[in-house]
Amino acid sequence: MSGGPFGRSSLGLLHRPRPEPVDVEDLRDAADALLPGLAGAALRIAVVDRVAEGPLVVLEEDERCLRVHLADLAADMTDAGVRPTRAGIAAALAAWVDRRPVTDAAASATGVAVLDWTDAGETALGWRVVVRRGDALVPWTPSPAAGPLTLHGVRSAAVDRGARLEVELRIEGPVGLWSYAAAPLLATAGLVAPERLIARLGAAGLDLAEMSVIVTPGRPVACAGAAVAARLAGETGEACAILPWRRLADLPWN
Amino acid sequence: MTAMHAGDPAPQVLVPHWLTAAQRTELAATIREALDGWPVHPVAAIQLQDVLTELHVAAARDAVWPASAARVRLATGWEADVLPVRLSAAELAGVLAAPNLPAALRAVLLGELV
Repeated sequence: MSGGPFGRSSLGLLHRPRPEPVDVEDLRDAADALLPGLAGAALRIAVVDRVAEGPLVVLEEDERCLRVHLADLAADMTDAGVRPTRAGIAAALAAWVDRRPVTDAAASATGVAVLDWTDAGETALGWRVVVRRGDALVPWTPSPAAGPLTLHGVRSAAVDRGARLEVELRIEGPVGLWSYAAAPLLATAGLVAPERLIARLGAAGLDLAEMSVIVTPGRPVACAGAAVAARLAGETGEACAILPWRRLADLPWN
Repeated sequence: MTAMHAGDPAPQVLVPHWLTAAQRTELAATIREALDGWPVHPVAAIQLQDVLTELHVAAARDAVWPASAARVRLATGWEADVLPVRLSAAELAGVLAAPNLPAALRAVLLGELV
């Protein structure tokens, strides 16, 4: 969902057929310089030296705890094609911290409901709560302690935020296209309130009382009548789902 | 989610015609002029309206999934404004029957020019 564990600082192997290794000592220097500034009221970050196992990065935030060997993190950065410079490593480390697990409290305070694939094969859609951190949208997985009340509260608040999000509308003839340039997956947030989208389309001159939506998570959301929607999506080889707007509320939560 | 019922008619085959922005604009203007200016059989009129729809849908398709057309443009060296406009055989026949269709556009649609 967020383009790999190191975000845009990762060049990917396609661009770097023989990646230069990220040195553990350089990563340690970057961690010592950067991590104290990233810690917050709830987020505690430390590098813990273990003689036998080597240093560990420990992120603790409310009920979440992440422990990763610095050597493993350096290897992952190498594999992801992170540039092994001071700036490259620092950017990758900051992106990695941004992508840490979302706490129940953070999901409750800032989560937004979006549609995303529920499976690796990209065959089924479901609702998901995500939290925006920097350029990343990080999915929330409820903690084992989160009971039905917490789940309901977090999801309800995330639906309200989704409904209030100002997604951008472009009209292309009989098709309405919704997008959110800064974080493309948020384009689906407006689907929590399809009646609101229908009203905005109507105000723009497009009457789609019985609209179908075409969803490819991470891409603009297209809305059109059933026949036009079938035409739009019928010839694409891309993974997508077409569904009548009334079925959006029936999709499961991830 | 995209399930097709057994009784549904088979989807028509749509063939891509790669047109520049100027050619798409010219095609839309030609069709509107034909619909306004000549007696058109009602069935042909629906097909021409479907071509107008497709011209919008082609742009929408590229906004949602730009990668596949971009790959073709990269391979062929075509300009960034070239998009696939997908027409059924009946829709293409309807356009080709328009008396005001410019010869150059006819040639492009018939695959005689790119």
